[in-house]
Parts: sequence; structure tokens; C-alpha cells
Amino acid sequence: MLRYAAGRVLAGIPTLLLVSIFIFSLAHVTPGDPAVLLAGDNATPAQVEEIRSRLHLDLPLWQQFGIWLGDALQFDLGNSIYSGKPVTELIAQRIEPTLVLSLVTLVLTVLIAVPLGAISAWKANSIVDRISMGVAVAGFSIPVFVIAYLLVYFFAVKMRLFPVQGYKWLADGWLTTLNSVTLPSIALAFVFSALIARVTRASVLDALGENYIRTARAKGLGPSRILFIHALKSVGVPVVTVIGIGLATLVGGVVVTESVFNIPGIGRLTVDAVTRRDYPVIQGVILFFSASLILINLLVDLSYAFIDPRIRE
Amino acid sequence: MALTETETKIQAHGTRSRRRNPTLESLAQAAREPWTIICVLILLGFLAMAVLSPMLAGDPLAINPAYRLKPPSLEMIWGTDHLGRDVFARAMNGARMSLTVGVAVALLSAIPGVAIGIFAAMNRTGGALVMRVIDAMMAIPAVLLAIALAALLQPGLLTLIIAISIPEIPRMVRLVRSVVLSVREQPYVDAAVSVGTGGFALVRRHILPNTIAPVIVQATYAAASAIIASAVLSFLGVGTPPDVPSWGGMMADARKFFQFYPMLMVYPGALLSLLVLVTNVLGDRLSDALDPRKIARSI
Amino acid sequence: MTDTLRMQTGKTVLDVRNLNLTFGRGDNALHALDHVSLSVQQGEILSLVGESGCGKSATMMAILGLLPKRAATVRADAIRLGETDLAGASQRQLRRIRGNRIGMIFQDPMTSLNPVHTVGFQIGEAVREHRGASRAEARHQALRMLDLVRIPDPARRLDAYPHELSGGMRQRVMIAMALVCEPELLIADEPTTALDVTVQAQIMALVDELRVEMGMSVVLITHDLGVVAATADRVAVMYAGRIVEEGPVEQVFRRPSHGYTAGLMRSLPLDGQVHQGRLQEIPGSVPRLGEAAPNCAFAPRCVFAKPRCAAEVPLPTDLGGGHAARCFEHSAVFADLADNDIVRAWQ
Repeated sequence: MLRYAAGRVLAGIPTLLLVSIFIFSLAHVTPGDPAVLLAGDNATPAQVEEIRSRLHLDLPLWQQFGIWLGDALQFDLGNSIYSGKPVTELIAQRIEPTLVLSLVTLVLTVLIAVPLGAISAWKANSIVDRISMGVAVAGFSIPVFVIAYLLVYFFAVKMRLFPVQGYKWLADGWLTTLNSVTLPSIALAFVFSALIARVTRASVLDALGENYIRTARAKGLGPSRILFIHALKSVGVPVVTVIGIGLATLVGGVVVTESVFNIPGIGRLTVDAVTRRDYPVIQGVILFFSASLILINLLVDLSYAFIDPRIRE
Repeated sequence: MALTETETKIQAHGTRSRRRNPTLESLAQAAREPWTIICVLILLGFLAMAVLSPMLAGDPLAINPAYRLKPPSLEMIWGTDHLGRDVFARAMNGARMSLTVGVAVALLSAIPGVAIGIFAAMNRTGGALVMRVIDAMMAIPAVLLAIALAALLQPGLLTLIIAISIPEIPRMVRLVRSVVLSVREQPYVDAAVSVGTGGFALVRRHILPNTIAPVIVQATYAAASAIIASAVLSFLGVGTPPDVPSWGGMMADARKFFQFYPMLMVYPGALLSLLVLVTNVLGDRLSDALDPRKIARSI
Repeated sequence: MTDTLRMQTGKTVLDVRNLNLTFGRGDNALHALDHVSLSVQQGEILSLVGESGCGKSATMMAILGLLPKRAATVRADAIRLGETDLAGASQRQLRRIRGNRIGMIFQDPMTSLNPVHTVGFQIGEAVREHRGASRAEARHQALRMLDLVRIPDPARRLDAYPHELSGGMRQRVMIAMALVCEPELLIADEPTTALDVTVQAQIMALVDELRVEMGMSVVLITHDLGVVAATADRVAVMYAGRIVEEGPVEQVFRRPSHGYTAGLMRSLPLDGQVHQGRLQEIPGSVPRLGEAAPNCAFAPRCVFAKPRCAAEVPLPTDLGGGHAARCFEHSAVFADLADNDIVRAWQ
């Protein structure tokens, strides 16, 4: 178990290193002078020179990367060109809404998609299955901002059940926070559930053909026990894997959704940085999201050991 | 076990037809299904919309400040937007961008994806290295990568296509690699190697044909997700310049007036969703028809 | 259709009358079982013998209602377990029978246990389901069963996962799982096929011991006449969805009366003796499923076949002592086999 965990952690390190090389090189492989790029559109030549020497852009690339990586490891991702504030500070300020939105979405998704996928597999080719899988294809196909605006129009503008936009901080009471993230979470969960439900259905369908399901039936167990205790538990690994990998898609959705609902999270920070061409912030946010995803998928890998006893050895 | 034996026999009983080219045969079979036909017809409709938009509708770019946010009329059947532009004309013209991006990204992710995927599967050390890089690329959220690339490069259609294609390539590489690895295990490939078939001949005769079906399916999904991604980028303001009509851009424009003029968002949103939906359904049909193991829609 | 006479010594535990099974509907329907009748007395081991695909397992799956409802149509004049009618039972009623009054073990213990649950949990599950036992009580019962199936150090094995056990151990766990509710009937579907030869005998001995200890009946599905000779009280030989010969083991071995049984006997090596000459095989292959044959399905492969065999379905002929065969040429079959080593050994 310990060896497995150590192996997974060690495997994550080169990935993270490659990701940082990739993100670092984005600014350098694109045509044009990185100093000009990093200085932003409205910089004077003096400012550009200042950036060039401050960011060591006059040094060889590999040295620049070493300095950048060393800083990043100390949580120094440079300063925003627009506000001049440290990028890490900007991210820290905006982490709460993004975290709340993602967590609520994740909970909603697991609660909806996993049982739905399992039931669709149990009732494969029935009306229930066809409808839920049809909805799932729609979930893939309708962009999250279209769903978001539909929800806003009906539940916020017409019925006035939820705020049209904005975010209430946890410090002001968690119920109002929950209320403010309900519509964005549903919009995101619709898209995310589509993926999870389809994978759950396919995995459970495979599992239901296994011999141990026949054994469970020969034991006289009822459908819900067979489905949830025997089939679903044994497909935990693929389902959790897809949830982990799917978070990358979710991040894209969070960026869009925060923009639609005007939620001051990291997604909004990203969009603002992009429109202002605030390159240090863009770089920092991508590194933050990528590192978080690598970390989460590391935890997913470790969770396999709890789901499937065969991996523990 | 006897049950499964019985089932196998039933299957054997049912499918005794001899196949010449399994890929073509399954494609032909898929083409006869009603859902496939409906999807293809709708896609042809979008194609017609893109090609014929100048004849069908007015000028999508003509600004008429005096005639802003007007309801539908005989002349402009979907009304006008906040600059007095013909919404119908813009919506028809927007199909061009979506279709262009979809097709271009499908090709630009498939071609390098197949090449890199085959290399990664055939070359042991190089392959391991390539897959490390691919893993790292997949750790970066695709939309963020596309946003960053689009923001870095000069704005334009080509930038958009490149920015969306790059995050799509790793998925294709993984798929092709896994297909090639399993094909290499097949006895007939061993046999081919043992009689001295090697290198390019092996890839061309035995490996490449086996990758075609899954790559077609994956490219269809890539087209669908590329159309969404281009709309997202346009919606966030890093897509094509405003003078190129796009559904995402139209929706971005409509945001400010959304509470009072929701239809400005409904028209492009519905067209966009329908196009992606039929592309995805077609992908599913193809996947059912072409791949017995069913490629789970990759993430 | 008449049935075979049998010795009415004890109570009848399982009684199946004219079981028919088809897969699919209409013109494409495939007949898997044709008028299968059998009965199992209390305490006895009935062995169902035949080649794979002949319908041995399908018979038992049909009795337990384990076949996919959509694909399979089961019809029977009667399926009785003691006083309970299974032919007209709902899925819910059948569920209360399975694992409770009928236990079942399968061929492949490697894949028949759920890899993500401990063996203790999987054994105790049936007690919780059928007896409403608490978690602790179920665990206690599981421990008792592990001990009963002679698993060493049962307390430690309780929390083991299937992959941590050997094949023989897993089959013991399967047996424990099937017997935890002390069923009247155990259906063992080729329980030793996937195991090492040395372990096979141990498992069969265990089944036999438990049968005596628990006073239950056993239906042993196998393709191995050697296993039948060693363990079963009665034997039913199946071919292409029909029971072609049935009777007490010693009767059938002493007087094989169907061409197919004769073929099986000839292909059986005699224990402890160097076999003279080569073992004979049955020519031809098992027919495809399809229409229920309008004749003796074995006729094309049968060395004794006469024109009549290809023209009509032979009804069971009573040969006395509960022995019957669906064969027009049963006398010729026996006459030909009279000097067979095995037949002689049983006389």
C-alpha cells in the first residue's frame, strides 16, 4: 500500500514538471518578444526594459525557467500587470467562490449521475435508459452558457427563485452562499453529469455480465442490493477515475459559468486577465488549475486502494 | 457457463454473413439507421445554411443604429441586435464559422494524433517519453489552454483553430496508441512480422487500417467539442474578431440585453446546440457501428 | 409424455415436469430444452451429464428463474420444490427460494466471487437477506460456515478478499455461501472443472460429507462420467436439450441403453487399469440449437441408428428399477456394450 502510494506520488512529479515547462514556454514559443507580451498592450519601452531585466529575460532560457520554477515553488507567480498585485494573492482572494461552486457541482453530479447511470444499465434499452442517455447526449452538446442562461431566464428572471447573478461569501452565512451558487451549480452539473452517467452506465453494464452478479442473484438478493452493493461497488475504480479526469472539463465550465453569473472566482480572474492580456495572471492561473488537477488525480489514484482491495498489495 | 455458451450459439446463428471490409460494411449498416439519416440530413442543412447564407439572408455586418433591437419583421425575420444588425443573417452566417472550426479541428487533431500515436506505440523509449508529455498536456484544462493560446497569438480564425486543436491532440494520441498496442498483440501481426514485414509496410498494411474506425469516431467527437470550444472562446471575447459573425460572439453581444431580449440569445444558442447535438449523436452511431468494444466517449 | 418410474424411497425434494425453454420468439426461436422431466429425492445426489451446451445448466437456471426474462421463455407443467410451486412463482417468490432453500455453486470460483467484498460479507449476505440477521449474527454464521467447509483459521479468513485465496479455498467459500441458509437442495454446476486435479477430489468429498451432515439433496452438473460413478446416486444423461437416459447410477452403468450414453462410456478410461487400445470418440458434433428435433437428435451420430430414429421422437422406455431411456434401439446398444470394461466392472 505504502509502495503504491509512493509510486503514484513520484509519478506525479515529472508530470507537474512537464506542465510547468509547457506553461513557461507558452510565452516564449509564440512569435514576438515575451517582454513586450508580459508588459501588456499599453507598456512604454522603458517598462518593457524594466520587465526584461526583472524577469531575467536576458538570460538563457533554461536559466529563466529555473528562476521561474524556483519562484513558483515558493508560491511566487509574479505580479499582475494590470493591478500590480502578486498573482498568488489574487488567486487566494478568489479561491472561495470557485471551490464552493466546484464542490456543490461535484456533489450534485455524483448524486444524480451515478444512480442514473446504474439504473440505466440495469434497465438497459428501456424507456428510462433511452431518456436518460438522450438527456446525457444533450448534456454533452449544449454549451454550459446556453444552459446557464436558460436556467437564469426561467428560475431567476421569470420565477425569481434565485438571484440572476453574483456570489454571497460564506462569511455572510452559508445558506445565502448556497442560494447564490444553486443555478450555476445546476448548469455545470448538467454537463458534468452527462459524462459521469454515461461512463457509469457502461461500467455497470459490463459488471452486470460478470459471474459474481450471477452468484449474487443465485443468493436471492434483490435488484437494488445487486445493483448498488455488488455491481456499483465493483465499478468504483472506473467511475472515480472518470470523475477525476472529468474535473479538467469541469474547470473549463467553471471559467465560463463564473463569467455568466458574475461570480468573483478564479475563472472570472482568468477571463479578466485574458481580456486585459495580463500574462503573468494567465500563466499563474493555468499553473494553479493544472497543479490542483494533478493533485486531485493523485488522490483519486490513492482512493483506488480503498475501493478495490486487489490494488492494496 | 452453459448459458453463455447458449448465447454464443444464438449469436453465431444470427450472424453468419461473411464480411469483406468490416469498416465499410458497418458504415453502410450505420447509414441505414433512421437516427443516422436524420443527423446527416440536419448536418447537410447546416452546410446549406453556411454556403447559401449570402443568398438566403441579408448582410450580416450592416450596422443600422436607427434600427436597433427591433422585433421580427418580414424583412428581418429574427429582428435586429443592439447595433441594428440582421440577427437572421448573422445566425445563418455563423454556421460557416462553426462548421469550419469543427472540420478543421477534426483534421488537425486526427492527422498529428495518428502519427504521434502510432509512433508512441511502435517505439518503446520514444513512446514512453511522448506519453509523458501527452499526460502533462492532458493535465492542463483544455479550455484554459485554448484561452491562453488564443490570447497569446494574433486573433483570427487560424489562431482559434490551432488553439482548439492542440488540446484535442493528446486524446487522439492516447486512443490511437491503445488501438495500435492491441493490434500489435494480434496473431496476424506477429505472423506478418515473422515473414519479414517491417516498418512502413507493417504500419500501412496492418496497423493503419485498424486505427481508421476509432479515429473517425474520435474525430467526430473532436469536431463537436471544437464547435463548443470555439463558441466558448468567442463568448469570452478571445475568439474571432467581431467582424466575423459567430454564434458564440452573438451570444456574448446578447448578454447585456438578455433579460429583455432573450431571443437574441435563443437563436444562436439553439442552432449551436443542435449542431453539436447531431454531431455527437452521429459520433455515437458511428461508434456503435464501427467499434465492437465501443470507445467510451473520451473526456 | 409419460415419465420414468423411479423408486419412491424418500420425500421428493425437487420435481420438474416437462420443462421447455426457448430463446427468442417466432421463427427465430431456439429450443434449448424439450420436455425435460426430473426429480430429486431427499438426501440423494442426482447427476446431470452431457456435453457443454446440451442444456444441463440451462435446466437449473430455468428452475431458479435466473434466465434473462426478455430472451428466455420457460414453460413447464410443474416445477415443485417440496410443497412449493416454482413454475408459477413471481420473481419475488423465487428470490426467497434462491440462496435460502436452493443453494447454487458455479464452475469458476475465480470469477464467481465479488472481488471488492470480503468473503465473510459475501457468505453472511444470504443470512441477512433471508433471515433478517444482524450484521454481527451474519458474521457469526459466516464464521461457522467457513469452519464447516474446513477452511483452516476461519476467523482470519473472514476478512480476506477473494483474490487472497487459492482456487480450492474459493470454491469452499462458494460452498459455504450456498449452504449458509441450510438449503434443502444444492445445485453444483461443474464445481470442480476449473480446479486442480488434486483439489477436485477434495471438493467433491466435501460436498458429499456436507450432504450427509445437512441431510440435503444435490444436483451435480458435470460432463465427467468418472465423477458421476464416484459420487452420484442417480444420473440423468442429457443430449441436445432432452434427457435421453435416466436411472440409478449402477443401473445405467450396468445396462447403458442409449446410443449417446454408450458413446460416453466408451470414451471413459477405466480407473487404475492400463487401457487397451485407444479411447473411442463419438463421431460428429453436437447439433446446433434450432427447432426441437422431430426425431432422436443423436441419430446422425449414432452407430445404432435405424431409419425410425431419424423419423420420430423416441419416448422414454421403462427398463425397470427406475431406469428409462429414450432409445428405440436400447437392446442393441446394451448387447453391443455387454463386454465393455466399465459395464463389466459394474456387474
